[in-house]
Parts: sequence; structure tokens; C-alpha cells
Amino acid sequence: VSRDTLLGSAGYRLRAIAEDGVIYIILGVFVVLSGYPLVWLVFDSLKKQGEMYTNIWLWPQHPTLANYASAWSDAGIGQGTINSMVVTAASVAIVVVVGSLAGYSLARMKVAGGNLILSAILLTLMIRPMFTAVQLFRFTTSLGIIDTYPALILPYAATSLPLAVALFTSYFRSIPIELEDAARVDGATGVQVFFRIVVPLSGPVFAAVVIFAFLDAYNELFLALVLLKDPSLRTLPPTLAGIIGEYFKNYPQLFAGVSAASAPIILLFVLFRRRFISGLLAGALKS
Amino acid sequence: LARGTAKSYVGQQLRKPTGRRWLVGRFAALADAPGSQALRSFNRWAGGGVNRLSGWLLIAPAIILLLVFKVYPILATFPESLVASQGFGTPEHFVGLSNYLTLVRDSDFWRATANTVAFVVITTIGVNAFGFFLALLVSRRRLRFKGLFQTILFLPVVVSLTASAVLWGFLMDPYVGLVPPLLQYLHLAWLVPSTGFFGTPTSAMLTISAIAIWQAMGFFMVIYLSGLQTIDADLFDAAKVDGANSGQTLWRITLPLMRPFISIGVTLAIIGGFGVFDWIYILTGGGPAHATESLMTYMYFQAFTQFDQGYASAIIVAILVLTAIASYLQWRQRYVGTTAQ
Repeated sequence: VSRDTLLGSAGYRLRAIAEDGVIYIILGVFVVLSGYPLVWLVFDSLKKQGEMYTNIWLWPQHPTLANYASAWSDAGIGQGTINSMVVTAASVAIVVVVGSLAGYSLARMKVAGGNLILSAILLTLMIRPMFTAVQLFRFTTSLGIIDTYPALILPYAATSLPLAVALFTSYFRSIPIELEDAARVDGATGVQVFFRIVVPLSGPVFAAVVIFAFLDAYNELFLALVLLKDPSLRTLPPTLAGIIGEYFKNYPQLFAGVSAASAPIILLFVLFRRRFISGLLAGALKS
Repeated sequence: LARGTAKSYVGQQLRKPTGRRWLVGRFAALADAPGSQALRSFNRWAGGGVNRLSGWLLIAPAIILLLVFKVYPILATFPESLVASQGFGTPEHFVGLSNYLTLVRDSDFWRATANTVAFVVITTIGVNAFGFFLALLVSRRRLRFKGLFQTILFLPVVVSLTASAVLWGFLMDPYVGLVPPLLQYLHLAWLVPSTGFFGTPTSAMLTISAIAIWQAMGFFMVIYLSGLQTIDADLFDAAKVDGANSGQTLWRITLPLMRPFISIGVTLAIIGGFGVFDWIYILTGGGPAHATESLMTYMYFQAFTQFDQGYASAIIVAILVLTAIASYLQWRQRYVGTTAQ
């Protein structure tokens, strides 16, 4: 080996190390930018009001959960969490049941014009919840269901449904039909085939649908502002939006509210990261 | 085993809904059923793949839900935009295109439109550029802790827009916020507007765009990551062997192959951007004097503060038209782009 190539390869290696270093530094900056504000939010939510201004950046010296307690009871975060959970759970349940049945029908039963129906259903993805707010306000008022949970649950379900139907349909189509036929021949009814064969094989698509339907409902603000005026029924986003005005000076309490409201979804994300990302991605690429 | 084979043969026949064999298979299946007579007749009724009625029954709830809560509200918006009303539940009268004529002369509406378009342009470029850049970095073969990087970079996506608005509203506040002193410390004080981040309409809109980019770029990173995975690694190796530097590889191989994903990313950002509401509603409320209004916050103001639902409906129609135009322009550019190649 000549001296030149030796030096060359050493130079190459040095360049590679430098390049890696630069990349780690850039990524590090972005990681701090993305993650630190959220970490900081948790830090400050655990501080007493005075410490917020003396110990600005770091973990509190005397962490306290008092802010959470007061945010939970006084600022309505507790009631908001209950309301959000009820609305989100009901909406997710409707999306999963109605969506999977429709998807199974489109994938397996010979519904006339099935593909046309699927395209029409996908087209309703363009109709964002906000576009329907005025009319929803009108007819939930005339139906007398405004200021009740269903007024919010049903529009949320309708928002997540098109994508759910599309994902279920394409997933069910990918299951070998022989499995279902064999079960049917063994005497399984249509209902049994669906619950015993199709559903157990479709874990990933159910997870994906649950995740994006959960996000759709849990984080929605516009319709929640419009359709639930009664403060005791408010979900978390309008509750948080309302706190800013009322509790302007008590920042730690505000931060405790925000982090308590965000905790369930962050927990869900960290636990099911891959499912989460692939679920949202499937949604994005499908639409 | 023999039993199983025979069954799947019958099963295959079941899939063909015509002819005598189908009948034979049908009876074989029924005869095989262990359940009661009721179960059998239900089986006949709900037998998947054959019965059209049950297919319709299964899809009906989805169609009804969408018709009632999506299709009807959007269709009813058009006639609604032709009436004048003093509030929800009060009598309304037909005024023709009067709402639209008011709209065209409404400077607040044009201000909201300009703000929204500016927001769409800035955030579309921002989230796609940063998303693509981050995807390139995170997808490098030698990189360690990939999962960790992706998780943290994606974290802002799952937090609600309300939460991020509250958080950043505090962080960027001119009196108690942490960003102004931090920038001062980093000798970047020139980045802070003299009246604070929300002091003038322009700086407020720019700040809100930056918050939007912060929150959404992780999502676009994931889109581009999935795109980069579709590119055959051999292509990069071949380019390296041919002596291409990383810039050339990016320009000649990665970017052209990522075209469909860039198009998806741009479309999603445009559609998302036109709906911007949460951040503005919380951070500026559209004020002062409607200067930072977006189309959505202006619609909210007209519909639920002024209770002028006819006028709000006209704004919704305008938003639909604008989104359609933007999608068309983007589609045409993509179309021209592919034919020019």
C-alpha cells in the first residue's frame, strides 16, 4: 500500500467523521427545538409560581403537583378531560364499527357500484369540519341536540369515517378470501366470519383507524367551540383556549392544564410509536 | 385434510354466484352448519359475497352518517349564502347575490384572504423544506438513535394545536416569554421585532406561521422518510461509483424520484393551510381590528359573533372556491411538470 492511498483513506475517514459530527449537531438543534419546549412545559407546570422566574430553564428544585390539582378542579381541566374522553371514545367506537362494516361490505359483498361509492366517500374527505359548522349549528339546534355530547360525537365520527372506510376496504381486500370461504363452509355465519376470521387478522388497520380517529376528535377546537356552549360539557381544546383569558397570571397552573391535557395523547404516541406514525401516514398518503 | 380440501373446493364454488354448482355449494354449506334453523336462515340472509341486501345494510350507516353530517351541511351552505339573517333562529329572507357583493367590497375579507394565502405559501414551503431536510438527515445509513430522533421530531405533531398555541404564546410573549431573552443572549436580538412577536400584524402572522412549521414539520419528515424508503439503495451506490458528489446525487436522483411525495406534501400543506384557525383564534383572536384574521377566523367571527350566517356561508363558499383553485394550480403544475420531462 502506497503512502498516498493510506493518507487518502485516513483523510476520507476524517472527512466522514466530521460530516457525521455536523449532522449530529444539526439534528441535535432540531431535537432541542422540537422536544425542549414540551419538556420545559412539564418542568414549569411542577414549579411554584415564584420559582418560575428564578429557575427559568430547568427541573424545579421543589417540584409540586399543586398546579395540577388546581388546574384539574378550578380551571375545569378535570371536567374537560372527562368530556373529551366521552366524546373521543364514542366517536372512535362509531368510526371503528361503522367503518369496518362498510369496509367489509365494499371489500367482499357485491354491492352495485361499490367502487363509485368508495370514491364518493373519499371525496367527502375534502369537507372539513369547519365548513359544516354553520349548518351543524342550525340543525343541531332545530333537532334540540345542541349542547349535548351527540352534537359533537356524530360530526367527529363523520370526519374520521371516510379515511377509515378506505383503509378498512383496502386492508380487507388484501386478506385471502379462501380463509373466509373455508370458515363459511365450516358453518360459520357471515357475522361469525367477520368477527372470528376478518377482525383478528386486521389488527394493524384497526390500530391505525383508532389512532387517527382519536387524534381527530381529541384535538378538535372549532366545532367544540360552536356546538357545546355549556361550560360543563366543554372538551379540552376550548377549555384550554378559555383558561388563557381567565387565569392569565397563574402560568404554572396554565401549563399544568396544558400538559395534563396533552399527556394522554403523548403517552399513546410513545407507547405505540410505530403504529402511530404508520397510521397517520396511511391516512396522509391515502388522501 | 381431505375434509379440508373438499371444503375449500366448495368454498371456491361459493364465490361464484351463478350456475348449478353454486347451488350445490350453497346447500353443502347449509347442511354443514351446526347451528339451529334460525342460524341457518340468518346465514342465508347475511352470507357474505353473495347477498346484496346485507352488503347494503352494512354500508348504510356509513352513508347515512356522511350524508347527514358532511354532504347535507356543505350543500345547504350554497342556498344559505343567498339569504340575510339577523341571527340563528330568526326569520331570513332571500337577498340573491347581495352577500357576495358585500364580500367583494369587504376589506376585512380581503385582508383575511391575503393573510391566509401568505400563511399557506410560507408554511407550505417551510414544512416541506424542513420535512425533506430532516428526512434526508434521519435516513442516513450511518446514523445512530434513528428511532429516538424520529420520535422526538414527531412529538409536536401529536400535541393539539390549542396546546401549542398556549405554549408558544407564552414563550414568545414580550414581557414574560423566554424566546426574546434567549435570542438576545444568542446575539440574535435583531430577530425580535421592536414591538414583540405579536406586536404588528405582519410579525404576528410570521410568528404564527413559524409555530405552524414547528408543529407540522415532523409529519412531513415522516412522509418524506416513507418516500426515501421507496428509492433503491443501489442507485445511490451506483452514483457514488460514478463519482457523483452528494449534491449531484440529491439533485439528479433523490429529488426526481421524490416528485410524487413532494406533490403529496405540497397538496396536504395547501389544504391544511387554508383551514388555519386554532393558532390565530388563540394567539391574536384575529385582531387588532381584523388585521390578523384568517378566512376561517373571519368566518367564525361573522357566523358566531355577528350571527350573520348568510354572510358566513358566502365566506365558506369563497374558501371552497379558493381551495379548488389552489388544488387546480398545483395539479396543473404537476401535470405540466410530468409532461415536460
